[in-house]
Amino acid sequence: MSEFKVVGKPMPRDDAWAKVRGELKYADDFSLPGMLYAKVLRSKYPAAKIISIDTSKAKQLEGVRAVLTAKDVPHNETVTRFGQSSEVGKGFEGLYRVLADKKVRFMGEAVALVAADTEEIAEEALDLIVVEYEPLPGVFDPVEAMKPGAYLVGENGTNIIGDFGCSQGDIKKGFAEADIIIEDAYQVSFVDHAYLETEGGISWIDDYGVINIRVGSQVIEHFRDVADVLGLPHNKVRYIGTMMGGGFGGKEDITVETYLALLTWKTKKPVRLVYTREESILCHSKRHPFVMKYRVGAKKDGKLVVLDAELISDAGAYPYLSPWVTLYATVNAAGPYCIPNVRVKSYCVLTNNTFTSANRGFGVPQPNVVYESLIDEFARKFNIDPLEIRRINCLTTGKALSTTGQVFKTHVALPEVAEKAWAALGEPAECPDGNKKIGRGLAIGLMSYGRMTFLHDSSRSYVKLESDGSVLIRSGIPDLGGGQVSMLCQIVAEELGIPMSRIKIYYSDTALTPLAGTTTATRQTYMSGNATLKAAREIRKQVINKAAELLNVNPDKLDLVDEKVVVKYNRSEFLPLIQAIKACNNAGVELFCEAQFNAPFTITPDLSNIRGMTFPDFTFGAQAVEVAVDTETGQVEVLKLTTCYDVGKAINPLSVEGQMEGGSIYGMGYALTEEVIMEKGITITPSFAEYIIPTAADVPDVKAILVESGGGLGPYGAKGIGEPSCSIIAPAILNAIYDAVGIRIKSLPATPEKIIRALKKDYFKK
Amino acid sequence: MSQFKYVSPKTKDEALEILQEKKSNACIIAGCSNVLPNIRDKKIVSKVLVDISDIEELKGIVGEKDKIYIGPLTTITELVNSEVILKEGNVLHQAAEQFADPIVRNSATVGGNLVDASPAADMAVPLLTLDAILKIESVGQKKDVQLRDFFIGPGETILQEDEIITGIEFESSNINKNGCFIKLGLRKAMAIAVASIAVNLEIKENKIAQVRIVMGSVAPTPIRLTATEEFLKDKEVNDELIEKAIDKVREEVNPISDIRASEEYRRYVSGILFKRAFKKLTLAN
Amino acid sequence: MEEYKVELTVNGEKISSLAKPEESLLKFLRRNGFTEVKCGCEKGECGTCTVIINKKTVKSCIMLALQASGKEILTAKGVEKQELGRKLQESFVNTGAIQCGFCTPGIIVTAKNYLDQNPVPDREEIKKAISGNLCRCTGYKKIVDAIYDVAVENQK
Repeated sequence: MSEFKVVGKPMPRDDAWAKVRGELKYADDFSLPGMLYAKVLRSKYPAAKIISIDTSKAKQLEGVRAVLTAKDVPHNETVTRFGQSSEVGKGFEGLYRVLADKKVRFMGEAVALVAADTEEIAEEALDLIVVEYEPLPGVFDPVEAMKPGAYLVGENGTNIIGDFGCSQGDIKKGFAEADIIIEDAYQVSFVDHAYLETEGGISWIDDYGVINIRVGSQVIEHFRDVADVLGLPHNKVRYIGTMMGGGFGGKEDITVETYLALLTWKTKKPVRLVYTREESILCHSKRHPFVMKYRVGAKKDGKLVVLDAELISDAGAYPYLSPWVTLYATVNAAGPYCIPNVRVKSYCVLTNNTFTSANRGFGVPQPNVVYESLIDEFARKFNIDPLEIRRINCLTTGKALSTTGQVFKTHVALPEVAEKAWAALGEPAECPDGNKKIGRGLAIGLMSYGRMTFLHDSSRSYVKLESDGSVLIRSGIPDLGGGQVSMLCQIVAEELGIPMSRIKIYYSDTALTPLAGTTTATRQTYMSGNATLKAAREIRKQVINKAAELLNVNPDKLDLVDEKVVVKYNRSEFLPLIQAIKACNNAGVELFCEAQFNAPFTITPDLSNIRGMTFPDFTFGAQAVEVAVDTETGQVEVLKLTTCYDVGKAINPLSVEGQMEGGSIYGMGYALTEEVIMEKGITITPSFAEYIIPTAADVPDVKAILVESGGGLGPYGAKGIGEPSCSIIAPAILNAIYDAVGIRIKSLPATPEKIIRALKKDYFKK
Repeated sequence: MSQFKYVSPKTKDEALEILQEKKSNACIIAGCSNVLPNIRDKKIVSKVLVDISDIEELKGIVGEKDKIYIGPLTTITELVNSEVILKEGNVLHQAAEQFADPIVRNSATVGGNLVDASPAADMAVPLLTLDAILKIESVGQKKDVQLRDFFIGPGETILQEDEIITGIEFESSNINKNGCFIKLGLRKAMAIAVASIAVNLEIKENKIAQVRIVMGSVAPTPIRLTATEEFLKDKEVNDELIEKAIDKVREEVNPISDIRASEEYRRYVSGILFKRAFKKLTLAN
Repeated sequence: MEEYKVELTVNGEKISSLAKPEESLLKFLRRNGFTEVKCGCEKGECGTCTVIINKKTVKSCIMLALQASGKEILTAKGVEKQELGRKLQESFVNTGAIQCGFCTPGIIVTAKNYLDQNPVPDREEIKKAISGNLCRCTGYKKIVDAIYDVAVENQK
């Protein structure tokens, strides 16, 4: 194929019309007759012993159908794994509890479940459950929690649930060689996914006795964990995934599913549970705060020679995915730079704060803030242009990642993306008034796509060509709004020459669709795209071979276009697709295929000294901003934002741009306004009035520049973009603030108050 | 379980009679922006919801020769679109434009914002610089109350359980025509003020004939900075005066630290907001 | 428990149902089948529940169902019946302004009502007009593009 027909073209998504018409049914838009309403009783304290729970009054309330506590859960403690074939790490507690038992570890931890005839009755029942707590001191700072003698969050003897490291070269030698050494500590805070659709779903028992859970989930493989909790065989629990109103990693862990399954299993009735916004902010996972200490040395010519980093992540009350997040941060800690001497040590620590887990970027945005700020500092110290210093130090194709030594066999689009992003800022803005100063900042970064390779990731997809020339796809792929489902349709449309309108996809059903793996780790274009490509190409081959027989030409000369099998250089010579299909059916040729795609499989590395390949590949990008800082109020306005990524191949440019534009603003909120503030484990930013995400009035017009090197491992050379697109905007903004007003903010969010306190030190000293 | 009742009086007198009968069991609703969330949070329980949103007598903006009347059910959008307000009390117009977001402005009412009595109340701050008077009625009783005497504490006013605001009035005057409102928020829409200011000013021969300064979110209620006003009165406008006034403002405000900002930042930025509002008005003159 | 009759018209369809006084218009609409009106926060802070009543946009989560009695409501499904609504839908779909789609019904309603009253805005005005509708996926860029394209079409 010399020219793409559908791939690479800006296309309306398969799901767009249903969404714009309001017809698409999300998790809460579905109900069943006789449905019960569930509510969750949550802990009042971040750390406490549970002395007793009395549910008798609640059970007696008319209309209440079930009240459950930990003793009612067959297997209350379980492990959240997905698709892992081997045990990883030491002291990897890796568990969470369904309902708190004997002790609560964070405020908002689920203590009891109620199912009732109406939502109001369920709420009233919650008030009737009497829990006697004995508050415990708790620990809320991960650095404190690491110290011997600290309050123990779990039962393990230590709060440190993971410690990892990687190194190369000799840092002593590196520091001796360096002309300038910068040592600094940065801190980033809890943030929320703030998807507009909260967690929720409905469960029921079907005619086969299978517990069905219709839910917005990024990982439908959790059906296994839910079955384990209930002590049921895995084939007795079915997840029907709905299209999500946003995921961003927050719907990656089990949210409502076990509660739904338990209540349905107990009552034998359909049950609905949807979190309120306050519940969502209070009780679901947050992005990891990190305390990051870096010591970096460079030579006068701008070359970095040594990097020594210590990263401490706050895992909150339960591990969930914290060890993985910390692993990602460790591997990314030196960024996209060639540094001969590197040492990274990282710790993942339990506290009594709300548990932390996956959030778009998964541990990569955090160290990015530090290394991109530090390289900016070096640039200023050496009087080197910010673009130039990155040119001097950045990775290129064939070089190796400075932390783990993974060699980049695929294309590294540096410094190209940096040059493009920086140039696209255009002419500097005129200063709007005397109180504001304009500044510009650049940041580059890399982020993996595809899961860690020692997890032996795979994805399956099923494609079938119907006898009338329409297509059926079955894929377990969850869609959180990034166009995952539509992307698969586009690939099949390309390969089989059939319009998108004639393609029907069934997705995200553990009983009926082959499992495609998680919609996480920016892996779906790569994994499920490839699986679907493989399946589609198999069918394509069969059709073309049969048509070649009938047309009496070499199969090489044929293509599938507009529902025809055409001769490539003479399209007037063709066979209608439908005839080729008929011939295949007559000859017993299979026009369906279920294909599996495997990522590279590596062995589990020594996590204290991670070497070699840990990810299939990386996406490289750059972001540049121009800001106006009000020197009297500290307010920061982002005037311009450019974002340039090598996406390999944009299957649907509109979707890819959408990820880059959306990711930029997701990151802008992280940089400037978003913070879930916890005071001794108690969240004091419970709603959108306190947890501030950007509105349309706050955003610049993001300029997205796509570089398509074709150098990715995904279909047609595509790379992943979902998470990379949000992970470096924060340091670009911090660098721009420095450029404007000469102060270096070392913690996020960079609030007006932080800026003014730094600018007006004399006033605040008084 | 919470038990609510609902009534929807069609006239002001009907509403007043219901209030007299139900007293603290009644909860007046109009735009509802604050009431429904409070019901959800169980802060309002088992009341008779008295929906006054259909009472025509409580609506409308009327500009007469010497005063301007605003019905308490006037929505923020109506304020934004009102020629009378733009001309006679543009400080209120400026505040209305920045209130919440365009959708909430369609339903939120001036009366509702005053009765909610947040320290940040975006309608209270400009109405105080306009030196507004509230018309308050109960069955058989009418009285005028200065807005500056209306607020007692955060969420608390002098309004009794059988009373409603039936009108908000301010004078048509030179000072009222010359005002500036600035709100400092953490984002550009749907923002609760970190600090806000309204200044109305009358200058005669380069001297300050009259000035009113009100700030929001820097005290338990929106406050008039009377000491600063006193300091500025009759003085000549120059940079030195402004610098001194900034210090006075900072001394006079009484902010707290909360999740949006610290007390020190609010105090600091109060001076800045004053400077900007004041300079805008004096440069314009 | 007191319940009162609520009679209103939604997208031209007459609906009659009992409601408790404290029930929001949002909950009332959703349980009567109008699930295109979304619930994102129930405090008027996100805009996913936006509907049009008497040519004004309203956040239905902070309005009582009873207050809407006797009124005509338009949801995202209703705006489709008018040409401007259809043009906006098409523009959103073709511009890629829809990702997860959860904010879309609320924004379409806001955009339609806005363009009805301000047919030729600039981009900054559009941003302000939709500043009461949060979006977490798109960064608003393509949403503004989609609305602006319709406005430019309007001019011709």
